[in-house]
Amino acid sequence: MKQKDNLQYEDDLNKKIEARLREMESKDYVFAKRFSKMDYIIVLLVVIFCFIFLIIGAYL
Amino acid sequence: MKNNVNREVEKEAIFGIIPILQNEKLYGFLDAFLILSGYCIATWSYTQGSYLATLVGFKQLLIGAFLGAILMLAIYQLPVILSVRYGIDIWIWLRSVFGKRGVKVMTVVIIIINFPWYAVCAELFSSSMTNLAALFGIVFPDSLHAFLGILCVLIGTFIAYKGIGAITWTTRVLVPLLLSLGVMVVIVGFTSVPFDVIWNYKPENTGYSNNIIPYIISIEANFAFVITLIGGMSGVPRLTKKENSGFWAGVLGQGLSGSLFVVMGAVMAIAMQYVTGKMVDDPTVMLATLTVPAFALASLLLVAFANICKYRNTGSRFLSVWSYVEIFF
Repeated sequence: MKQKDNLQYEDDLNKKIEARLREMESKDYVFAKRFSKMDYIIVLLVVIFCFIFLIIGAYL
Repeated sequence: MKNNVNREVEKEAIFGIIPILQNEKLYGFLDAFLILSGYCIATWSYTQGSYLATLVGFKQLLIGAFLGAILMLAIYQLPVILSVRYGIDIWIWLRSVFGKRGVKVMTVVIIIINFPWYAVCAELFSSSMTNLAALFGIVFPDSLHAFLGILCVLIGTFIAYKGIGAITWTTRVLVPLLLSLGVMVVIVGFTSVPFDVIWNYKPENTGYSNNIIPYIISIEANFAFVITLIGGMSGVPRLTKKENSGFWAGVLGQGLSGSLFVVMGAVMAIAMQYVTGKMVDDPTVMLATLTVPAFALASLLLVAFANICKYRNTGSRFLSVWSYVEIFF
């Protein structure tokens, strides 16, 4: 009986997942604000800044 | 039945495998930053700090702890952007790299790798509680030690089970308090001994003739330190409303808050070495030695809660992975 309930639950859960995926694939779904080009540039600058100071640190 | 499924779906959406929709997302940058700070603040940070103090001078330690950590985090946290975009956890998007079976293996491996850390937390909670009782003149028998460790696991898991609201509120209270403790310990460390003792600190004998080697080892230790937190890199960011909030909360939560506690451990170790001749990484012993016992009491309580916090995060991770295991194994 419990096994049957679990299978039913899995089935319902999978249907819910499918429904969510359909919603995310629909044209009018609004995703989170994207990581912009500026964000990627900031990440790159942060990495370069850290890397330079790590090298400078070796001579302290 | 339908209501049950809806409730379960809501739980799964928070902890488990279901992609979370944009309108269900909960966190801005600050909440995610505080939760991830709580995730990486733990008593092992002090151990890491005192270990680094045996390898490099204080200035090198500062650079390595903050910039080494942020450098590694800024690179390895980039896939978090996908977690925020599609509302999925690390265990889901890693399928694209390892395949479905590979992810099952990786899931178990990551949990096994991290478990000794959590055992350390339970152990430290237990000894903190024993010390706390001793301050009030109560002596716990040795047989209570294991029980107190298990209590830490149970309380943390209970908070996780109570859901995302309980996690958010305990985090909003505890993490700022823990960060304040960190700042306070650094101030106490710097004011209890001459400033130069810490600022110009260099280890007497690193065991290496070439100074570049211990520096490289310390940087590697910082990289390794932040990589161990990989298990928590997507669970919280997938609930954030913007991609850059999720990403920077991870980078700065671990890179700034976590590193602050590492530096705090180093400051304690250096100050204690100067005062007592021994490198000590226990904040309670340090505060009791360098200030007054009341500070030590506050520290003990916060350290105890920090370990519960860690188990709370483990608990939520466990619930998350368990739901994944239950459905797909």
